[in-house]
Amino acid sequence: MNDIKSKLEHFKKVFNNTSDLATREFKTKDGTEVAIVWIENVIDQLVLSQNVIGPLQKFAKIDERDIVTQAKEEFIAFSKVSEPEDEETLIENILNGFCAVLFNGTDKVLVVECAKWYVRTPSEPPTSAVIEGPREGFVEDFITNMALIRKRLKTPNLCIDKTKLGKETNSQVRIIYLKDVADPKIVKRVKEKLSEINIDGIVDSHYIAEFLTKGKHTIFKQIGSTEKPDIATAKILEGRVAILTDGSPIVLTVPFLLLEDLQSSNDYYTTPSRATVLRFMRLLAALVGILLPGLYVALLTHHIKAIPIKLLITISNSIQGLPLTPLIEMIFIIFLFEVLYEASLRMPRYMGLSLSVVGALILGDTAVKAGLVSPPAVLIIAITGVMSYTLPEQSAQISLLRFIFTILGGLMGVFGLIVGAIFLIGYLVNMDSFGSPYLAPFAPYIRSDLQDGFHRHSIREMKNRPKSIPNINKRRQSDGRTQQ
Amino acid sequence: MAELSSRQFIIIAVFVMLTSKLVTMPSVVYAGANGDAIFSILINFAVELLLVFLITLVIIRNPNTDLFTLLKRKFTVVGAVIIYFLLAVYLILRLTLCYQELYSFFLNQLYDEFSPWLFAIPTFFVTGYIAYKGARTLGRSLEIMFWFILIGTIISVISNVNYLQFDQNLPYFAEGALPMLNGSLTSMFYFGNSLCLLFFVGKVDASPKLLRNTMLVSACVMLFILAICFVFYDVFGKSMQYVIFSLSEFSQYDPFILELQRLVWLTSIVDITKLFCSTICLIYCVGQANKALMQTKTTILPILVAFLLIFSIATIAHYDLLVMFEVVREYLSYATVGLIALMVIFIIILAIKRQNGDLKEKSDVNLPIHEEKLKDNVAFAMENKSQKDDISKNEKRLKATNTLTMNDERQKDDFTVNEKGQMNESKLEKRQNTARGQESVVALLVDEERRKNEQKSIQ
Repeated sequence: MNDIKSKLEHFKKVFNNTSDLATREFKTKDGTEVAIVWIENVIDQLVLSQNVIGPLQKFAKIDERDIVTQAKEEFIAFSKVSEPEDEETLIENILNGFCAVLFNGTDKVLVVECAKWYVRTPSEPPTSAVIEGPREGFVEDFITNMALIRKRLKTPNLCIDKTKLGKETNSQVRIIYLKDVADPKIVKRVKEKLSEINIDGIVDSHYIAEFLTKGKHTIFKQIGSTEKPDIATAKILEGRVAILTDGSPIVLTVPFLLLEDLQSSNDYYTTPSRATVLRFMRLLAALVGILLPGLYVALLTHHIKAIPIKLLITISNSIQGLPLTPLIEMIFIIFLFEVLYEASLRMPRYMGLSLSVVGALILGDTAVKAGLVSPPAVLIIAITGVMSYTLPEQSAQISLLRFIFTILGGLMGVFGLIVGAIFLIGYLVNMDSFGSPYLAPFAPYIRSDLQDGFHRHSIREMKNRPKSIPNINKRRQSDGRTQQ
Repeated sequence: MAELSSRQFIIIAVFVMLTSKLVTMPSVVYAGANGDAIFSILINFAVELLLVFLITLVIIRNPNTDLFTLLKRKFTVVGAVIIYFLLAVYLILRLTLCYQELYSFFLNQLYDEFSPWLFAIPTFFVTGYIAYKGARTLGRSLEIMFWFILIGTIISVISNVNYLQFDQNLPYFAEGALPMLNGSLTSMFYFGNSLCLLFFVGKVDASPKLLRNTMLVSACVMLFILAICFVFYDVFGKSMQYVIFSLSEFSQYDPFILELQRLVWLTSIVDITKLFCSTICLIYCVGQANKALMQTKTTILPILVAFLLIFSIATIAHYDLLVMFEVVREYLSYATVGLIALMVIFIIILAIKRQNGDLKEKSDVNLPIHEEKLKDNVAFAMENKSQKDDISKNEKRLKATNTLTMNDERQKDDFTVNEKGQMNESKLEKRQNTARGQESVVALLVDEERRKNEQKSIQ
């Protein structure tokens, strides 16, 4: 099948006569017939014409070497020129933005990378805004993302292992770690788990996260995720393994501890004391966000005597004549809140803004005036709603737990809340992420890791890597020596 | 592999010791000893500290062996079953009291009406879940709850100091030492809790300072409880014997809480969590006891059986704490004295005998094999003809494992085999001896051959 025409026919057949498969036939200076095959829209046309078609048109055999070798070595001025080993690789290359150069009279094919994908400029991710600190965020292009990490970790120890997932999407996945820091067992386990994935497509890195998660029905995430290269770098430096997926701005990191969501990158760009206060505040806000509606319902339903008199009078004035029980009332408001939140996310931005105003002012106010809900209940949900977003990564879990604890409080009172809390603790301490206890360094208690727990010590004091994350190099700082 | 760290074990010990001591114990002791109650508690604490000391010693000396295997080795299977049965009975009764205290506490503090079923099902579910998940989950859960409880309790006690009336119970020993002894004897049921710690034998990664730290923390817990009891007695005075729920009544006198107006539930939450933690510890231990007695591998069934028994006893007692009080004072405390005395003897035997055994094993593991010992082993091996045949096999095994000692995993396997009966145990010992003998013989023969070869080569 050395004839150019038949080769092109073959390609069209392989690509099922897709309309975006482009071909170009021409003759070189010495009359050799050449054809180029590529996928439209993923190729930089200018590069193709200037650096591939142009030189090839001037091509003439200069010695006894193979025509393909000569073209590769003398004419095509590209670093990424290769001869694919088989047809499968050739097709994969074409799909990944390479153009294939076919020569008449030989079976050999050259592939030249001329890809031009649409790439968003790295910008500050909306979920991880910082007051001070780097504002770069990952984008959907994994090459850019790798470059963002490389920019921060200029060491030959940074290993980037590649793999491909998804039968149809052929998504490029990169496993990134520091060879002299990350525990080889964890790296091996990550690779094993990834190799077990057999799915038609990986649309986003969250697909991979689900495959890496232990247990099907857990409500807590066991895989860390970040949109910021500085956070990913810090985690890699601690011995974690990062997983980068093409087409996703989210970089996954394992192992993951619950404490990580309590920490913010901002904590490291401010004073340790300020960071400590912020962390305690986040923890308190999360606890209030989970428990306050349940406690309110429990007190009103079962322990009305326990409410201080003045507060009781205020509340009883507000709830007088309400047709709903405190539990149903609270569930109704939580439902309303979640619906408003969900709708504001999905609606067009200009409508979402007006909806949030309508939701907050008109709906709430009207519901209160109509006597369907009481002002304290609306206030509680508003407070807890705001508080749950102090931990944006865990807001979904907090919402769910708030709902569960409200039901427990309504059905069983304080007893229900205590039972629920103890069960939650039992459940959380039992979880692990790639061998690291989920609640480390609190349970099990790891004293040395508490330097970056609720109370953040100065970075100067953090001389060792956290023990909670298995690693093969404990030391982060050497004693009193300046690195040359 | 150890499931608990030393720290987790100490925290478990704290919760085990705290069980019920702040709820109903003070009034029971006071009913027996009146003004001298504090001294009765001191005597009982000495007994409990002795138990904690001995059990911790056993834990340190048996890092890889569980209690049942240990008991089987020392007292045969029958002995082990009897000891387990006694422990299980005590713990089930103890758990029943704890469970009733918890229920009564809710009823007394927070609810006008509270269905026993509505209480039982969630309680059993949550405590059972943690107990089912094992010692590791138990240790970690208590580690999380420890600080919350500690801070809550200290705040509620410190804020009461202003209300103390030190002359309430004076003079001490007005009627001699008899009331003190009576109080001590009738409340001993509350001071056998530490027997629970026996079920953590072989599960603790014992640090070198475990014994010292455990004793220090235990002493602190005892002092803490003693201080609270002292405050109880000096706040309530002669009316103490009528104050059944010391802790809940106590919070009513808390000026800090009173200032916040009827926020009693704040301290109640701390107290209830404390009781829950103790219940979880007890449930775990009862589950372990039942598991060994029922010879089952699953943990769900033993825990379910324990729940059924507890629920049945509580229902028979009509969930009336006063009925349980009478039973405790009239019968159970005396029985507990006997049980503790028996257990102290058993534990001392375990600790002492294990120490000898331990040294023997250590010498096997660490010391180099001396020529004399080799000769002994040769003699031992030559007695058994079958061993001679197995020498070549053992040589291969020896080369493969490249070690002369029994590794932990093999030991573990042997212990699981052991759980089937005494016959297996003796088999194991024989096998160990034979293996050691054979390995030594092999080593000797290999050595001799090497020497001969060397001599030949020199010649």
